[in-house]
Amino acid sequence: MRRLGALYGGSSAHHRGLHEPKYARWLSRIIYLPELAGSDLSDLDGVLVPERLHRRLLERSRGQLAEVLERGATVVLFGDQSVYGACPDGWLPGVAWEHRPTNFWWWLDPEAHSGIVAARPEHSLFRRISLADATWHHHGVFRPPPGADTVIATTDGAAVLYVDRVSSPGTLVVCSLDPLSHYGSYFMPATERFLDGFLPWLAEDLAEGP
Amino acid sequence: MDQARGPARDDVPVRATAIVVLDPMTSTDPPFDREPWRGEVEAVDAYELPSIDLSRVGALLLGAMVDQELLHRHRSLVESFLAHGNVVVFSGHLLRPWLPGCGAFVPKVIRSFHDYALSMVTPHPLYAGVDPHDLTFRRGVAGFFARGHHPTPPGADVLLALPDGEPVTYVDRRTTAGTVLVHAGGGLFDGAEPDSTAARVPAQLLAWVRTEVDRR
Repeated sequence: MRRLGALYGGSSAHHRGLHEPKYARWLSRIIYLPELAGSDLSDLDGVLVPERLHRRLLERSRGQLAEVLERGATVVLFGDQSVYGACPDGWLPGVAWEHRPTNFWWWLDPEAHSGIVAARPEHSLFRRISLADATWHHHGVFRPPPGADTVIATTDGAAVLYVDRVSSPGTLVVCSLDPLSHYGSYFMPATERFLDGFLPWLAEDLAEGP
Repeated sequence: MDQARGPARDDVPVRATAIVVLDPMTSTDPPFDREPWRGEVEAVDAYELPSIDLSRVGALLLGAMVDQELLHRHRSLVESFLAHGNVVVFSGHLLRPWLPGCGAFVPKVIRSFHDYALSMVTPHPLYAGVDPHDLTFRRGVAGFFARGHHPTPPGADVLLALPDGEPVTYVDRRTTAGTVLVHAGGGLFDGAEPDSTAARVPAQLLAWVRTEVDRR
């Protein structure tokens, strides 16, 4: 992907996550969310939408993100997508969020399982990260549309990360994990390992297909 | 106190008593919808800051996900609000210089979980009856409450500190005519573990803010 942009909500956590040099090198542009409505995204091959953005501002820009997909480019969504549920036209194509109570503490029990599995161990993402790098907690899951590619799943078959090339001419990467806000708050080492691999995967591998 | 919230009379100036949270609108389950905050504070969309009638507001509460570019753009509003003797509480990492007296967040270099150990410095109603161990650890895991500090202005009262004395929570009554309480972490408004003394913090924060607002 030649040009990747990221939305920036003005919080300290987003600022750290997007400006950290090892991540910023993958970003051609950072778009401040309140200025998104007046921004031209046509130069971008992909737009990264971090978790925990101001829902009213993001909902207002739904059309711009849908347009990115319509012209065959990529949109990446992180985090709880139910907060953007008030869009009159619905949220982005095929995104169906299902809330799950968060178990922040599963890893304190040596017998416990995180509940997360590699649905496609051969997927190109797993050449960049391990399943452990994507394992901290999740706040919900997705029911991807038929034909979408579930990469990380829960043990009961719902998606934590999927790639959808069927619902639009573009590529929609949807991930219920929230790495930027945790990394940006100096919290949870796995989130850093996740971003260390996810961003180069997005920038260098995704366009080549699974 | 009830008089202060009653209808305006010609001879009694209306006192600003509202406690307003600048809501970053990033969550479906914000802490301000829950006890002890519900009904006690007004959540206002953070982007409405320039249009809020601050003359009726006695305290502004701001959390970690708030847009600090916005606050920096409107820092004169914050300064003027404090110049009128009001209260500002910030629980987060300062990114831009919008809060008088507060230096930019400094993350702690962590070598072991001992580096997160918190201790009380000055007794304060915010942390009355709270065991600092319960702030440092949740279910045996350290580091939830604070992972760094803000350099404090001269004369600030430090309430809580990291092992090398880094001020994690402070109150500043000297820099402005108002009162600023800063906590270097996002967890001041959330109750943490319900069965630990850390759960006392939100209600004690609300009570302290109310006292500060009423005594101005």
